[in-house]
Amino acid sequence: MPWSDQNGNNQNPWGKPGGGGNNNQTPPDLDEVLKRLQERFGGFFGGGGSNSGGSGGDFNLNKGMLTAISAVVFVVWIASGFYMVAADEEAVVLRFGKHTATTGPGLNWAIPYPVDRVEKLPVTRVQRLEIGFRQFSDGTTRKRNNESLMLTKDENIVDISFIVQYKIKSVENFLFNIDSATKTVRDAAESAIREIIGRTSIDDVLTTKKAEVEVETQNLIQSILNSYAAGISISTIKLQDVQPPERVIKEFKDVASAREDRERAKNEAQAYANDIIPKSRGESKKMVLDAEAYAKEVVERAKGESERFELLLTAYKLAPEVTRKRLYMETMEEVMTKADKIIIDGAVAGSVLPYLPLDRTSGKVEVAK
Amino acid sequence: MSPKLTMIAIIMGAAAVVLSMSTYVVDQREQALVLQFGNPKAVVQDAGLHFKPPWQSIVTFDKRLLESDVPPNEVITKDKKSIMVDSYARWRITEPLQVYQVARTQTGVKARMDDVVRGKVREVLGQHTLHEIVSGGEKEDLRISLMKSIRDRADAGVQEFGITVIDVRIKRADLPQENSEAVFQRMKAERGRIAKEYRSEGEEAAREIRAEAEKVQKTLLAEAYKKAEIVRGKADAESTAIYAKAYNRDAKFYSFTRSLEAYRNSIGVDTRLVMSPDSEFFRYFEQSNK
Repeated sequence: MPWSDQNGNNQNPWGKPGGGGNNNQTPPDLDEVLKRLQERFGGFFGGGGSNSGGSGGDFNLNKGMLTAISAVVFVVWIASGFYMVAADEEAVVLRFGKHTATTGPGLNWAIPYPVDRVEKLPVTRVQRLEIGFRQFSDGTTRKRNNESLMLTKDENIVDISFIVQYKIKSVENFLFNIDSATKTVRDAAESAIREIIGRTSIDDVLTTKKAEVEVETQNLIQSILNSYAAGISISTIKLQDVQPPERVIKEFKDVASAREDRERAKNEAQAYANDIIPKSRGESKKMVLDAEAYAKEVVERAKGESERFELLLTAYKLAPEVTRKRLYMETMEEVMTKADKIIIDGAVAGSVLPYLPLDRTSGKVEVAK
Repeated sequence: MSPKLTMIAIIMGAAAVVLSMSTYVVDQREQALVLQFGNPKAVVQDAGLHFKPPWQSIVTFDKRLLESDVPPNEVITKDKKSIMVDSYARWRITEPLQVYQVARTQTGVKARMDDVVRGKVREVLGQHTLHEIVSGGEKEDLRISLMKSIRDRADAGVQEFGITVIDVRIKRADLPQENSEAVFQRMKAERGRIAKEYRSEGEEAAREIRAEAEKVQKTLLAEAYKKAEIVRGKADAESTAIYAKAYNRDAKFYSFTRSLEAYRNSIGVDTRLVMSPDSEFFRYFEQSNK
């Protein structure tokens, strides 16, 4: 390197004061730089040439070529300092290893090798960690039982796998404070979830408190990472599978179906109640109405019959003897017309009666005296 | 090229070599120990470009928070249960010189620290019961204070290594295989009990609902029966009163007409009458002027 000696004394080969502000590293004016280079190197070579004397033309050619080559090399070197920072990235500039600047998206320039080194980091990209399982690129997953099985407060074992999503909050902390981001997040997450699950009973974990577990775990991981100044922010914790261990899953399912059975028994009984109560309500109404109908009937009949009797009585009183006779005769006539009749004189009745074939008669026997 | 130019090139080359030997770069993430023929001379914490005599050499150490996944550790708890404790530590190199003297390298000192941490994990957790370790027992922050006390003791234990332990956390505290078996059995039994309880509760509720419904049913019917009987009774009484009032006007005539009506209703075609010609009906049967 033709200018490495100058590098040694001054970080900037073109002698400008060292870098000024950290964030405004604009490329130097090329024309000016070239002119100054020509002055320096030209003077150096030129001085040598005049001392040696003689072959001035040869040296002029050398001098011209050297200048041109130097210029080209220099331009290429300067150009290699440009770098792009994508929209989702931030870049960190390390000058001889020392952090001097952090730049955002766009085209930037840093002093090229070996002075500055640029490291880009995807700051807005949400990164994802799987705990308790691993998902492969073909979509299949495999359980990691040693990560997913954990003890609950009531000393049961529960099988939990979850996803941690995080992103870089501070590029400086992320790069300069911790050695392995994934390992740090994974360790903190495993420790945190066990602490939270260790404070929760298995029934709560499996049923109602999933959301709480997520929130508490996220807060705990975040506070662990903050205590490391890791520059990482946890976006979400998503519990994927929360279930009893495989060994006892059958029994847990039976509990669930027992709970269903309980509800079903209640519903069936309720259906029975809903069936019989309205029916008996109807039945009881019917009973009362029947009774009321009976009452109406009996009373009205009584009224009718007594009315009839009174009317008859009134008429009867006009001619009691004749009416009596008439009524009697009319009735007997009607009765006698229909009935089977045997007329026996009272004097012989006692001796004849036993021989009458009364048993052959199907109807009633009435003995009138 | 003229000899002079060659000379210049050689001189510059030599200068470059000397320069590269007398400068060194310390990364933002590192700290450096300057050694002169193996003897520590200085510790450089600042990142950037530094100079040294060409005969001195540099050993760098990490300055960041370092991870250490402490190997799983079998711990016997106070209640004589055995658990596998998997913990991790976060640590930092504070005195590169001491690290160099004690273990030479970062890996060497990490191994020593791991041993210390494992020992402290056993020591601290051994004073507590399984329940306390897993869930903090009655106090929720016991687990936190356990981890803190492990950290403090571990930190004290590694003082002379030139490092500091920032944090020790229990990742897993799991039961060994044979204990897990017992836990599974207990879980099964417990689930069986809960399932039975649910089913019996269902049966209980169902019976209650049915009985309640039947009670309502019987009550409704009984009340209706009572009401119906009262209605009927009142009607009977009323009709009886009506009849009595009417018939009482001429009891003899009533019994006469009522008897006639009874004959008419009771004597039909299938009735055989055995009669004497002396009866009222046959008054004129044998002679016409009685």
